[in-house]
Amino acid sequence: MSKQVPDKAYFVEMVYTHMGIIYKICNLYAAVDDREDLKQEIIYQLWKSYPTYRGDSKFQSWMYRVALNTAMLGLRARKMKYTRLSDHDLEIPEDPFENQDQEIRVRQLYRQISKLKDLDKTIIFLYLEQCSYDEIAEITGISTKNVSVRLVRIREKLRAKLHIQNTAP
Amino acid sequence: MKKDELIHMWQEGNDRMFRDEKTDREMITQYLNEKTLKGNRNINFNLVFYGAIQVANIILLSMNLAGYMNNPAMVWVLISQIAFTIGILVFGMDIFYKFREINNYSDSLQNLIQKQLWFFRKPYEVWLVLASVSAIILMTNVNLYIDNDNGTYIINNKVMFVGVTLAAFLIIYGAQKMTSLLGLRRLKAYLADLQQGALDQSQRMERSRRQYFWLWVAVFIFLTASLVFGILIALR
Repeated sequence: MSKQVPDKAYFVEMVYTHMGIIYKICNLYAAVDDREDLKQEIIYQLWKSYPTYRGDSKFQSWMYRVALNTAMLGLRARKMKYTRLSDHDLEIPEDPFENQDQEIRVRQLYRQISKLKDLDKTIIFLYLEQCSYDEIAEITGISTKNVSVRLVRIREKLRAKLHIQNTAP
Repeated sequence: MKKDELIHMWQEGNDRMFRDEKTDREMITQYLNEKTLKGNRNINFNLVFYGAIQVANIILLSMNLAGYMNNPAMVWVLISQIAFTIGILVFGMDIFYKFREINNYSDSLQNLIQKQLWFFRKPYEVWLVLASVSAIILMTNVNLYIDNDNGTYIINNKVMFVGVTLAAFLIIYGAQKMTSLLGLRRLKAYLADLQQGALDQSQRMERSRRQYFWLWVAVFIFLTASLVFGILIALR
């Protein structure tokens, strides 16, 4: 990959492969009406920052960083929409073959995460995406120890709200 | 080792939530083209607008220099203004470059906010003053060009001249400062939020923002009215 001339086809392919990251971030940080805008903004910012991607870190990690920064600084800092996600914002497709309790729990998980402060939301999001503590620290710019301490607190809070027993390592 | 139940719920929920999402490669490419063009247009407009003022200044200053060539005092005034304008032009280009740098979202969140804060506190503040001075230079040079009387420019009322110039500077600077202050205050609050892990400060900011907006509108109207009043008195 050339740093000077970004390979657009490769970039599009990589973004397409990891599109789920963008969907999840849009779902967490934007209300329904702003979601499409945020999706486009993230893709644009990824492309704009692409020449700085050195390839020494995982594309996925780099994508998390740019997408989260865009969601927080690009959209939220500009519009200052501290929207709490409503049931309408958390539409889950109807599926008669699935357990309804499960659906309710997923909705609750999203709602509880959306109520967290922005930094905590980012930390738990990256944790749920199974990023390592080091990766979370690198993306957010806070220390690994701080990530660890915060995660314990956030997970406890979420478990309490969702009435889940502690099964985590 | 058993996987955290939260991770399990998250994965399962997302698999269901996004299974109907359809963003294909063509759509990504299309977004990219639309957004890239839009982004470039915004940057280009700012660059062209800022550059145009400086170029207009340099052209006017050169014309005035030719017109006031037989007035040694004016020659020195105009040469220093040309040097100053070229300096502002170079500094402005550097500011735009820095601005693009701080909007590169591939840095860590904390670093990014620190950089943005530094930019708005230091170079951008200087640029606000210089951009206002540029506008004043433009205004003054239009007058110098129109009122050139065989290389002589007479200021009939020095106090009024200084007053009007100062008021114009304050209005231009004030308007720019007010606009930038909103962004800076929001960023400061946001950084504090991230450091302290609380959103309260930003939410308070959002509430007070509207109050400040109307206060600034009132200040702007007052300053404009003062300027118009001053001009009317001068015309009598």
